[in-house]
This record gives sequence, structure tokens and C-alpha cells, in this order.
Amino acid sequence: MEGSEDIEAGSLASTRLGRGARAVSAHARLSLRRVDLERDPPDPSLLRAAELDAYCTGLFVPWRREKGRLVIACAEPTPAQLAYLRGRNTEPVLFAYARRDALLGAVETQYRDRLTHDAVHGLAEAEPQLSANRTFTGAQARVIAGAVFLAAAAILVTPRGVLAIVAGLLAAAYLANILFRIALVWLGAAEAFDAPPAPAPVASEDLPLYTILVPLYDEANVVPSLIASLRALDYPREKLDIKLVVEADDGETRKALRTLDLDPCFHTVVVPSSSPRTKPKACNYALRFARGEFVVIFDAEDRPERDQLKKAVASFRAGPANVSCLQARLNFYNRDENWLTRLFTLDYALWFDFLLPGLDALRVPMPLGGTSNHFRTAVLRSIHGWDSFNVTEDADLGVRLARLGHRATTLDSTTYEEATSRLDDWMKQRSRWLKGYMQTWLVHMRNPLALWRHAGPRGFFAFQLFIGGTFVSSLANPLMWAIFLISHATGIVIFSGPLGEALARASLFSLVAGNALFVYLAMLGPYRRGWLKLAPYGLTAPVYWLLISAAAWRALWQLLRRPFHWEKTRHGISAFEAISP
Amino acid sequence: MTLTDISFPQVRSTVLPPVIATLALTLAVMFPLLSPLAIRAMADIIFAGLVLHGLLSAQIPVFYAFAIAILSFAQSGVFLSATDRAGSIWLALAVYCVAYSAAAFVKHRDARRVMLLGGALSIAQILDPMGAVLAIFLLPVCVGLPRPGEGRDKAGLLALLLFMPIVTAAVLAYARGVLGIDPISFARSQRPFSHAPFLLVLLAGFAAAPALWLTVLVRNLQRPAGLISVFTAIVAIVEIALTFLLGIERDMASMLAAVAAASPVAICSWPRPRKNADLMLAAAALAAVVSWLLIYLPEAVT
Repeated sequence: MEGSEDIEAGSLASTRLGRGARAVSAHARLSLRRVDLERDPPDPSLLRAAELDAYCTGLFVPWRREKGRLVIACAEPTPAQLAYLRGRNTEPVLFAYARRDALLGAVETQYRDRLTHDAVHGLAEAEPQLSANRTFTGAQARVIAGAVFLAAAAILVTPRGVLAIVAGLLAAAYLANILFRIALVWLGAAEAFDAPPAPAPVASEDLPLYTILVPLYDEANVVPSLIASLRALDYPREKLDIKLVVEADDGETRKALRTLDLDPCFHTVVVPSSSPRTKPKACNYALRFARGEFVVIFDAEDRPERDQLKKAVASFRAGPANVSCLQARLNFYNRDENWLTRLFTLDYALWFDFLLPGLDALRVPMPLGGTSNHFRTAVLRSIHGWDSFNVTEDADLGVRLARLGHRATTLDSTTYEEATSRLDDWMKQRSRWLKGYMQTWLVHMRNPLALWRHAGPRGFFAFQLFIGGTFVSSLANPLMWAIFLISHATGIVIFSGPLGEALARASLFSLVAGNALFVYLAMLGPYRRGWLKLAPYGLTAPVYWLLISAAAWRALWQLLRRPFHWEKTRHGISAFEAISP
Repeated sequence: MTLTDISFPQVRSTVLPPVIATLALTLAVMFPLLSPLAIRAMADIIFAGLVLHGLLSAQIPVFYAFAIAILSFAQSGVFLSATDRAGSIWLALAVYCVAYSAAAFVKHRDARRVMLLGGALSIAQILDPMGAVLAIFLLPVCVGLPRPGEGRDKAGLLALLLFMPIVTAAVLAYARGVLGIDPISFARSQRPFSHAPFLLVLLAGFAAAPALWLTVLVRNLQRPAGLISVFTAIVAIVEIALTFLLGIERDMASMLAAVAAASPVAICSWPRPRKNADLMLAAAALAAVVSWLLIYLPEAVT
């Protein structure tokens, strides 16, 4: 009989049902004795740092030595696991049962500094070239300083010439960006994305353990609806490993979680306070404890479609092995709240329903959206998780995956979120996104040749146009308008001579065509979802674009002053109910 | 063995769009540097390629597709536009793009077809002022055609479809009125325009379009797509006849170019392409003969 050597330890301490019922029944079957790791923590001399990942995911920990035998505490013991543990130890072993939270708590207590350090610096130490812990490298700083110096010197010699060159370059970048987006929309609008062949569903008994990471900070008000939404997922509860990731100093959220009677599949991970205080750091910390074959990130206010996990498993199983990430579509449940949420909805619909599928069709690096990215856990760990210093860690991760030979693709399932409905919140969120895009561009352009080699020519240019183009066009937009309005209002001739006249026409064409196409794409955005009553709001997109431009300049300022500062988006302030349509 | 069974080198319809797109891009970029004749010759090739692509995509047997494309090409004498003698390639291109994209839109109504129709109506305006008239008449019909189970917002869809044509019209008005630029004008044929009575022109237009009328009669037609191409042709015929009535410069070749461009789109909507291939070919041949008689018989008589 498995674990027969433990029988001497006595009868079960508890047959408590409800929380931990499955584990209790397992250890009851195996007749393991119960130990309380909160009261009697493991002997530190028995723990080995090299085994840390095994403790976190295997849910066991060497506890004590008793009568010449090593006692191993297990939270979810199975005959196979006990046999495995017995086989990997040369000395005689005994097994005991410990509550999972207590076991993980004991491991965290012992290795808190190590876990925190790895969560923050894991990528920076393993791949320093790919971490945003330095905003500019020395070479980048020299190039930028040189360009600024040259421009300043040229302005002294021929100010109008410099202005004409700058305006010409901006117009070219502006137009190239928007034309690339048109091409992406065309590719993304292919019928294959409207009705992709559904992969064969996976039988319930074959579904793997799935980890859900939900980073929370100041989210006490949305915790009940979040838990309800996670409980509504159509996935066997015993195959879910849900990590609610809270910050140590966020007492309110922790308190809100404590008041709920959570199922055994929920596990609260408390991230110790440290700098930088970013979502990727919290996710890295929690990833250490992820036990699922696949892992997905949801935000606190997310309402994923119920079958999203099953669809993801089916897609992973049916797709090529190098597909390591699936990005679900995101949209908003409070789209009709006000003008800002409507425009945000048009923006998101275009992004997730057309542009990302377009990038997918082109097989080029895809910047991931902040939530509902499903990963193969092993791959995510092997590339050191997220960059804790990047404030759009998701976008960076998408590019990094592509550079390392993996592929991210889109998943035909939607997660509904809460659109920021207040301008100040929206501005903070958008500034962070654009700052993150700047960080991502700077990181991956530290060695352009390496990027070219890794992503290929197509990926390289797509990266320039999609990541670089996003913030360059946002920064350029008000400049283009300013040049246009000043030259028309004051009659100042910026562009003179035949070449200047051609440049003036090209700039005007870029401005008009760019804005017109931007409006058109905004109107087209909701088409796939049939939300065409929102289409006329697309006519106001140039105003929205000016707001994005303001956010871009704010982002640039923050990049220089506070590159790692994470401006938290408030959730749960919408008057609209979080009901998925 | 019939003509439908004749083995031709496999021409895949997917090969043509990149070739056509490259040619169109080259034409757009090189436009200021090319002579008017060269521009019209390239436009002829693009038109022929588009017609052939449409026919092949509709599963029409290769021999018939080539034959119908050649006959459509010949019908209005568009190839002669390269020699500056006759034909109206720009109008033919405009009508074909609009008819094709409108038929595609009413058939599928996906985002690509929305972009295609909006783009076609914009390009049509650049190619020929008649594009604006087509947009005005065509869009409400396209949007209004019922689709079972479709709950899309009609006003939103109309706004989406109208946006590109309206912006193009505004930009063209600014370019022509303020900047004095007409993108196509210098590439237009310089031959003198003929004048004919309104009714004669109208009858000629209808007489030269047997494929269109057969489209209405063919059983099991993919109705919306077929009818929209017929409707496009009717709008074009009436509009051209009206321009004659108003004394605006048009000639008989313009009318026939419009008809010739819409006919292959209508043929593409016919059911059972292999079974109806002979009928398609006969219609295209009849249209070509009638058209040439209409253009050259009066000239020969006078």
C-alpha cells in the first residue's frame, strides 16, 4: 500500500469538507498524517534553493527528520507523486499532508528574497540586452545626443531647411504608418478570421491543469464580481489553478479576499513590497507557483467568455508546437457609457479584431494586449517571464517571443473589460501604454542587426511600423496640424521653391489622407461585431487622436523622468454592469 | 469532348491579383512620367486582368473565361484607347470596379467587401466623374438589400460606405477647383466627341447588353449579386444617355465601355458555370458584334 510507512503517524487529523476537500480526500485515501506548517514550519536546513521551483509547483517540501527518516509534507499527494518523491530521495522517507496555502506560505517565507529578486531581475540577469531596466544604452544615448546636436547646428544654418526635412520625414512616417495599418486591416479582415475552422474540442477528462493569474492592486471593490466571473468559466474546477496576486501593502484587497469563501482552486499569492511596483513583477512572482500546463492573465475587471479556456486548449493542441501564445480579443462592456468609451471601443475593436489578426496573418511579431494572453507555461518560464521594468510588458513579450522563435497568434474568443470612462484615467492609461511602446522599441533597437536576424526583414519592418509607428505618428500628429495651421493662418511660407512646393503638397496629403484613413479605420473597427451604431462616432476620431497625441507627449516626458512608474488604472467605477453581451 | 473539357495551362485566379496590383501600383507611381498612350495601354492590361480574374474566380472554364474576357475587352474597343482612336478605358475600369465590388458586397458583406466597395467608389470618381453618380444610386440599394438574420445598423453601414467616396469627392473638388489638378485628364483620349440623340444612345446601351438581360432571366441566379451588376449597368447607361441629352461630352464608345464592363460581372453571378458556359460565350459574342456595329456602322454609312 502506498504510504504504508505513514500509518504509524496515526489517524487523520481532519476530514474537513469544502475547502481542500479534494486534497483531504486524497490524503485520506493515502492515510497520511496532517501537519500544520504555519505552526511547525519546515526545518530550513532541509530546504534546497535549487529545488525551489519543484516545491512551488509540486506542492511538497521537506519538513523534518524523524527517527532517521525524512518527512516530506505534500499538499496534493497522489500515489504517483509519492512514488516519484520516494525515488528521488536516497534516504528513507515518510509523507505527511499539509494545507496548500500553509505549504506555499512556508516556502515563500523561506525564499521571499530570492523569489522577489528573481521576479524583478530574472530577465535582466539572464538577458540584459532584452530588459528595459536601462532606458537608453550608452550607444543609444550617443546617437540621440548626436542627432539633437546636428539638428541644432543645422537649425542655426538653415532653419527653414531643417523644418522642411523634419516635416517631410514626419509626413512620410505618418503616411507609412497609416498605410501599413490599412494593409493589416485588409489582411485581418480575411474571412478566415471571421469564421476560423474551430479546432476539435478537447474531452473534459483530457483537459490539462490551467493556471489563471489575476494581478490585483486596490481592487477590493471588484473582487466579488471577479470571483463570480472566474467561477462562471466553463472548465472543470479541479483543473483550475487560480492565483489571485495581491501586493503585500494592499490590505483592502487582501481583506476583501479573506471575506470570501473561496474554492480550493483559488490561491492568494502575496507579492512582497519592492521596486519597481509593476504588474509584470507581480506576474513573475506568481508564475513561480503556476502549476498548469497553460497559463493565462486576466485583469480584475475582466469578463472572459465562458468557454475561453477550452477554446485555448483546443487551439494549442491543434496548432503547431511553436505557437506559444494565444491572444484573445478584448472589448468593453461599458462601451455606451460616454463619448470616450465609445471611441475607446472603436480603438480596441480595430486593434483586436483587425490589426492583430493582420499581424498574425503576416507572421510578424505581435505586441500582446495586457490581458487574456494564454501561454504554454514552460515556454513562458524558459524566456524568463515578463520584463518587470517594461510598463507594456505584454507588448514586449510578444516581440521577445517572436525573436526567440515562438509564435503568438489570435484566439477567437472575447474578454470584456471596463473601458476607462474618465479622461484623467484614460490619459494615465494611454500614457503608460505609449511609454511602454517607447521602452519596447528602445529595448529591441539596441541591436538592430540582431532584431533583423531574429525577426527577419518582414518582422523588422513590421516592428518599426507597428511599435515605432504607433508612438511616432502620435507624437507627429499635433506637429503636422501645427505646421498646417500656422502656415495657413499666418501665411508663413515654410516650403519654398519647386521642391518645397512638392513637399508642402505631400505634407498636406499625408495630413488629410492620414486623418481620413484614421477616421475610416475607426468606423470600420466595430464592423465585425455588428456594432455599427458606433460607426458614426468614428467621425470624431481626429479629436481622439489628438488626445492620444497628448498622451504620447506625456509618455515621452515620463520616459525621461520616471521610466518605470506604473500609473494604475482604476476599475469598478463604471455605472454599467459587467455583463458580457 | 467539349470546349469546357479542353485542357489549358492552369491559370489560378490567385496569381492574377498580385500581378494586377503591381501593375496598378507601377501605374500610380509612374503616372507623371509616362505618356498618355502608355498610361492607357497599362490601364487596358489592368482592365483585361481584372475581368479575367473575376471570371476565373467564378469557376468559369478557362477557355471560356479567356474568350469572354477578350470579347468584353473588344466590345467597346477599349484596347483602341491605347491608339487614341476610340474607347473609354477609364470609364470601363470605373464601372467594372464598382460593379464587381458591389456584387461582392451584396454576396458577402464582410469587412473586406466594405473596404472594397468604398475603395472602388472612390477610385471610380478619380477615373471618371460618373463614379459619384454610381455611389449616390448604388449605395442605398446595396445597404437596403435584405439579408436574412442580419441585424446590422443600416445608418451606420451607410455612413461607413459613404465615408470614403465623400472624402474622395471633397479632395477631388479641392484638387480640381483650388489646385487646378485633374489626375486623369491628361491621360484621357483627345479625339472629338460624337453627338447622338438621347433615345438612340439609350437603346444602343440596352441593345449591347444581352448578358445583362439574360442575367435577369437565368434561373437559380445568385440574385442579389447578379441584380446589383445589372442595376449598376442600368445606372451607367441612363447616366450616360442623360449626359448626351445635356450636351456633356460623351460618345457612343463611352456607353459601350460601361456596358462591356458590367456584363462580365453579371455573367459571374450565373449558376452552374460549366453548364452555362456556351450561353455566356454567346452573350458576350453577341454583345461585341452589336457594339462594333453600333460604333462603326454609322461611321461607315456616313
